[in-house]
Amino acid sequence: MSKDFIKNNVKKLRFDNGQMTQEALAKEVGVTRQTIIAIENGNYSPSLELAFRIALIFESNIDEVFSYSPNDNSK
Amino acid sequence: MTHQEKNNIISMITSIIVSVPYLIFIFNKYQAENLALPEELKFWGAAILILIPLRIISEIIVYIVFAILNTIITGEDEVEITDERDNLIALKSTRNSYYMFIIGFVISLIAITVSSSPSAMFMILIITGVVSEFTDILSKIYYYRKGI
Repeated sequence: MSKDFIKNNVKKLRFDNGQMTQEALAKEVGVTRQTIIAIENGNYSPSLELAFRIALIFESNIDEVFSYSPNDNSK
Repeated sequence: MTHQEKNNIISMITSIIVSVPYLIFIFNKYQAENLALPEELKFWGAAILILIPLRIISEIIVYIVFAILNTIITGEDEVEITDERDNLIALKSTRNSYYMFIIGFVISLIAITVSSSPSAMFMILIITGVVSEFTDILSKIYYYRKGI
């Protein structure tokens, strides 16, 4: 499944950005807190649009927030 | 447990409480009445037509009661937005539900071809409707818990 391929640093970036809460991030990008939790836990791969919105909030490039690693699936 | 999971569990319970006793009542009534063919078709038509508003009304009532109780118990306001993940889960669950309904529909066609009894077909169609509804709800619970 896609969750095995796409890794993210959302949790780390939240803490680096003044310990932003999941609720605050969810509000900023227009999704529910459950979606942020699912993304952080690797249970949901966001759409490209949502991924860009999250990256924009952290003032980062998208590859600093999300990374694609197909080799992880063979573990 | 998230709000969506609670909502789906409540839907499941409502469906079991309303649909299962209704199906048992209808099947018992059908066996007791011993109808001729035109009345038999009317009977099953009415049975399905009654089930649809019954499910809609019971779902609305239970949803309102759940929202009130949830607000009183947890203190959370009922302002959950629906986002892309919710939409994707709804789409995948509906797809699973359609697959289940198509299987049931084909089985009902086989039943009428083999047995030539419209009642067998209608019974299978009604049961398929309820089972596909369960499939939709269980799929949602599964995707919310395990991820998509």
